[in-house]
Amino acid sequence: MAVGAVVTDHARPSRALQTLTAAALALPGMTAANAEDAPSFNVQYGHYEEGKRDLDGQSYKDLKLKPLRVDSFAVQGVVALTDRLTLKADFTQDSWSGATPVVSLPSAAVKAQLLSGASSPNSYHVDKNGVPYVVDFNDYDPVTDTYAHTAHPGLVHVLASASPETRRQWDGSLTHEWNGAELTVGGGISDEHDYLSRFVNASGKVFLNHKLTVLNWGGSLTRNRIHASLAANSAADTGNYTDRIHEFDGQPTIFGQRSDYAANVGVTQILNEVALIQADIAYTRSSGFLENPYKAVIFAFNDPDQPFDNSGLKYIPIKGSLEQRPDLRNQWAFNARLTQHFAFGDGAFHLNYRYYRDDWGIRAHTLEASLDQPLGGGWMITPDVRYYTQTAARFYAPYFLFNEAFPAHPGGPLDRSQIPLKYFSSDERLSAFGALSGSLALQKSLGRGVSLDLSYEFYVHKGDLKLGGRGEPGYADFHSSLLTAGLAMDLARHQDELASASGGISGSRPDDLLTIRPAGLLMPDVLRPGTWAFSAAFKSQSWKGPLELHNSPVSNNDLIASACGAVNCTLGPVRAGQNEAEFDLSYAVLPRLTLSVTPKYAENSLTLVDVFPDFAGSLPPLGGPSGSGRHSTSSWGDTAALASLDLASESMAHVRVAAGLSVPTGEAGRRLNGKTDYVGYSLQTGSGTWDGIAAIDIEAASGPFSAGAELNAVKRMGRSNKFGYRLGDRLGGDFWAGDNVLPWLTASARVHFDAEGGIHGGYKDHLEKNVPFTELQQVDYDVNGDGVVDSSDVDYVTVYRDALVPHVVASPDDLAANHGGTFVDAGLGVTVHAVAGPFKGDRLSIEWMRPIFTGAYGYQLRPATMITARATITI
Amino acid sequence: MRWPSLYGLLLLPLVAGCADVQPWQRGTLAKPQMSLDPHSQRTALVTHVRAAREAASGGVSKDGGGCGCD
Repeated sequence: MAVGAVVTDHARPSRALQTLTAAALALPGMTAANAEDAPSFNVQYGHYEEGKRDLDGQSYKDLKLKPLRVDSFAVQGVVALTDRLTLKADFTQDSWSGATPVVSLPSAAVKAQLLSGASSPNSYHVDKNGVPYVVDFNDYDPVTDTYAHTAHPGLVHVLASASPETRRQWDGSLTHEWNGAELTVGGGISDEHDYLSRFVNASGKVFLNHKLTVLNWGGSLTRNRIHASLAANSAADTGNYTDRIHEFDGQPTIFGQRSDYAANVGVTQILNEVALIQADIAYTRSSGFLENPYKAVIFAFNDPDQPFDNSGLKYIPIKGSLEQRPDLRNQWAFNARLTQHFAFGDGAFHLNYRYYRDDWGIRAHTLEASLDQPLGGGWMITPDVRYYTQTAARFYAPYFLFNEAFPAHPGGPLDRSQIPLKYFSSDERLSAFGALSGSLALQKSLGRGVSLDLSYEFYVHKGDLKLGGRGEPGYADFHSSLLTAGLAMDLARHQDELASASGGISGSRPDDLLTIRPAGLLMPDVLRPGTWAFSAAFKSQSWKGPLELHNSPVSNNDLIASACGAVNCTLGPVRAGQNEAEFDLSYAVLPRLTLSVTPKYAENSLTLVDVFPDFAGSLPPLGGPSGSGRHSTSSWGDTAALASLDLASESMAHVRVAAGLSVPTGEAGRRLNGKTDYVGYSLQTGSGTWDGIAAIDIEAASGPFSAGAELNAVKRMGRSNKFGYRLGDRLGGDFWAGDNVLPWLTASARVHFDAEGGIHGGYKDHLEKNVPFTELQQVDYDVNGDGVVDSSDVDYVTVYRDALVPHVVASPDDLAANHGGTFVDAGLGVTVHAVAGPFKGDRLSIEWMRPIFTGAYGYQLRPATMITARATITI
Repeated sequence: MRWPSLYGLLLLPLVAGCADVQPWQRGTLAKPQMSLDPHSQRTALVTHVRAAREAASGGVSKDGGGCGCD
């Protein structure tokens, strides 16, 4: 199937080549329409970041907010199981963090809130023409009997910074090809802490007219479960969802279900030797809970019976509410794509158009043009420009103004029967706007079917860019950028070039590897000189409650009184997780020396609940800052760089030593959302120190059996990181044995030992604004009763000033003494590896480990299952 | 114009104006840049991010799940 790729020059092909090409193209699926389904291995990274929005004078820095950003990874493998059967597997992970709009409202309401010091916007004023005003009730003019007031038209978003969220998606598909048709069935699961999607899909192709015409069809079914905490939206009225809101982990949580049925049918037509076109129509029916649970709307009430005051202004009370959308959405999309080759320069021009409409009233057009232009030397450049425009949903408005009195007592729940709207949303996705984006991608082919690509996109979202104008006003405009980097390996071509380099592939075992190592080990494989190995691993470890001290569960009373050191705990952990996507690149520079670098992306989570004493009867809840709920952090973690040296290499055994560094690329001083204090230690994604790594590894093989032992140590350097603490040193050991059960399958068992020292020091004090202090000061009233206000009149007053304050220990995770310990895990693994063909030396390993001994320091959750999945390819 | 007739009109040139391209004349069509979506994995990544910001992105079969609630 790789022969088609050989035809890259413009010279008249030889007769033999013509025959080969014809043979290749006679195979089903060898049309350009599905070249992406050829055997391949791809890794893609993307970083999306939004620019700052116009917050009407407020700054992101003052609000302690950061714009939204998303880090995405995708790993994809396509392998040919037989000549006719192809397996495709994908893993995608995206981590979202930063601030996003939760509601939009008249800017005057936010200004009024800032003047009054209220916890959330609750009112503004309007004049007789409905222009919003801000009234300063601190500035009264007795002559006119009015307060200072200024017109303040316009709208603004209120942003909220939720705890970072990570979504992981696993999906796969099987494709069978016949001479005149192709069928794909697949399915997958997408999991984030508040949203679970499971989906199945089927698609097919029918080849007609000597494969000049392809009929495409597809269908999918997606089921979604939603359980979203409403803690961040506590100011909004939730009366429209009373039957859906239940308590979960101590938080008011909205539960919902949603289904999506989708189908599409289309045709791909080869127009001539250099052009093809595709057109298809897609229909999606979504039903159930279609709301965005984190978006609110603002209801404003202009009471016609209320008179205007001396300033000619009227008071407008406002109230937030969770949004409400229809339970059904029918969506239609029409897509057309044209690909045209240009003989001059060998470039291919792509033109895509998409028309979309749904029964919520949204109409959208997308037009995208790009040029894939080879530059010679294996380089390809792809400029791309895209325009998107949409109308608003029928029930969208930035806020909702009603000509009626506030339909409940202020502060009380809304009387929903008085709200004359069934559906309402202020989600900017449903507003009218246009978007223009441009991108540039560079791709470099490294030979042997391996290529690297890098792209940058700049995207502008503007109301004024909507087709025909009259989009959302400028307050909603924003821009964003997207950087992607990828590695792609065309396995069919890789096999082809290896075969031609070696004069054919033979052998019955992956002879560049002595043993098949379990997935979770630290050191890289022993590689032949000049060999590159790339592996992508996903590691997941969880911890479960109840909290333990010396392996015994702790009562709430003990937790509160003892687990937080000198202060009482107000929060207790119920579960925690640590997930890492690790990318290991190794290169054998010399026969005995392998260098490797391992960047990783880490996501840590910790769910906390408010804790109350175990007394009968009811006591008032404890005070203190409530930080209950699920907390998570995600960022690049520390990067390990190792050099491993083969000391003794016999045909049956290896002895290796390795030394290296862990570079502090992770975060060790992450702070709580919107605050200056730090998150708990387990939520940091890095050590903050340069760490030395040393390891020794012994392994041996005899027949189908192999065994090994690895000992490694991590030494933290320096007294502490810049945040005031130093993680404990680590000593780890592994003993493992494996058996080649089948020529392509190895089973392994492993015992892992880990001793981690306690944390030295602790978070240093952080700068807190407006800290209250009680001080004896001169006051402007007569304290001592001498009839005179003078310097002898002193009293205790509360003053607010910026000050350095210690880290608040609210949960056991905030205390350094509750970290570290000795842990032993044991588990089983399997590795699938090819002994010949294009995947020789490439492996897929999965390992499952359980704790068998836990000796944790202080108060900690109990470790639970650890799963490692690793895909390794050699180049 | 109603949907079915619009769709039929757009498909008409596909079946009417096509040359007969023999298998050995399809070398150009087999080039990677001639794929209808030459960067499919990047497209999938971009589509998911856009689905959190545009109402009309996504909504086709084979899409993954996810809230996109930001």
